Amino acid sequence: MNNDDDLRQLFADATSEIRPHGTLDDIRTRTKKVDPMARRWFLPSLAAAAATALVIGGAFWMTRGTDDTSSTNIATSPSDTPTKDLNALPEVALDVPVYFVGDIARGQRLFLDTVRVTTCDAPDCRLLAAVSAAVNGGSTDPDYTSPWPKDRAGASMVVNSDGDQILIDFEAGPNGEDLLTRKPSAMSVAAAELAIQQLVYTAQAAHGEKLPVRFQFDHADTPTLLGVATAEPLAAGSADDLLAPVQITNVVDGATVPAGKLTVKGMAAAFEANVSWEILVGGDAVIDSGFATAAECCTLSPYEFTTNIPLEGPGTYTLVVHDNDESGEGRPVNRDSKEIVVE
Amino acid sequence: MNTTAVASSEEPAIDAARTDADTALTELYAGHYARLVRLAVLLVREQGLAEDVVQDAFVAMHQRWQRIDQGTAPAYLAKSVVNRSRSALRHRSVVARNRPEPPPDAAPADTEVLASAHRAAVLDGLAALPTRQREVLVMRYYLDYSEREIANALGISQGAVKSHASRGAAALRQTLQEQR
Repeated sequence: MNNDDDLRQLFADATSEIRPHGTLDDIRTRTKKVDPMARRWFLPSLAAAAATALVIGGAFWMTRGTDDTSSTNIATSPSDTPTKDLNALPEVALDVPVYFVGDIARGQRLFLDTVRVTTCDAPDCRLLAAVSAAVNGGSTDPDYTSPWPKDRAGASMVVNSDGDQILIDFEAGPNGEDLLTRKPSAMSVAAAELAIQQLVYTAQAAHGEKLPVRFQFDHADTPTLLGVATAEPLAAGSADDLLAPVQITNVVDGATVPAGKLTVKGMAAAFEANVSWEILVGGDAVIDSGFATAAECCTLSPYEFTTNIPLEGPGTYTLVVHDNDESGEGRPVNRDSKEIVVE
Repeated sequence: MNTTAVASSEEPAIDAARTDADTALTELYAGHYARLVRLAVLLVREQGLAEDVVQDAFVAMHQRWQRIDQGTAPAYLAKSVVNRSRSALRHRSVVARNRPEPPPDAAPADTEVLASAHRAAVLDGLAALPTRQREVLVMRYYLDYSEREIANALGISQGAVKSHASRGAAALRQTLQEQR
């Protein structure tokens, strides 16, 4: 028996007695009730939960999954304008900036992504849509996740700005429960701080202005959210400490791009400002590669390069940008990757 | 494009796409669910967590069905399970530090003891390896991926795959030897 067979056998034996639980229906329950657009707002488990309303300024949306309108929330914005029916609001498809959490060589950081939402065309609508996507996970990139607890079934939020600060107000659960002010035991302190900063970065990017972000729970100031001090409005923390050192920012995962030249833009904080890039086909072979230089060394700054795709016709390609292991000791590198579909 | 967030279900294009995704989900579940759960058990050790990881991967695939290369869906699922297992472990290690050790598993029937202990030893040995070594070994010997396929799936060089595989295999053999 050669070594390979010995390990194959070991692994096959080790799992031979496992009788998986979980049925197709369990999975279907989480997929069938979710509308493609609504999915951008809520995790499937949330969408399938009781009636949920998003409240913003003077308007509200009901998500799908229920026709029960009894739990409509009333906005608590300063203007306190009356709620309007959803159907009366003009809606548009918009791309909003959203930060998500992803892995870097050591630990986790924030990555800037772009999420397509359907919402009313007003600044506070974009703000709410972006923050909701950050909390509920709306990225097409499987490497990006939301760090927020998934068991906030029924929770909704109010997000708006009065021009001096941005308000993010999480409401209590349907039975008044508080799932958010304390740090969940499954979350590290660092992860909780990153989750709070994720919303600060997202809200500021979506609003287009770096206003302080005031967090509330159930319409009142709260000393902590996820265990992080939120008594005072928060400013964004240092990008070099919080953002991933290599990011692709102008290509979303799963994007369809025309054949020809593709200009890739992103941010990198890399040794000597150098990043490497590759285009893989079929997840299997490098068909093009090169280097790019960020504007500044060692601090997060923009890079840009242009690649010719495809060399091998329409299909799915993987774009990878990464920094390099300067030690030569096989240390992990920081990277970002996007699947792109060439038509 | 929906003009309202209370989306109409009378969107033929969306309905057709969803039917496709639903059919694919049924087929992929039948063909791959059990094997993917076993893959995840090799990676995360605990069956309940493994099932969560695999179900999440199926839900995410269903969500993205129109945007993925559907011909390679099984490979996509496997890669997604490997990535999600890594995140789940990181998450769990934080939980583990914050709670007391669980009681040992209940002892199985006598005739099963030896086989069961051996299976547990393999899973424990894998769990004790660094993440990358475990991933490479499992992809190589459970999924039967080539070194190049592993390198691409994990975004590391083939040289790194080789070295993780040989170090991981040596460490695992050593652990199993010591337990005999």
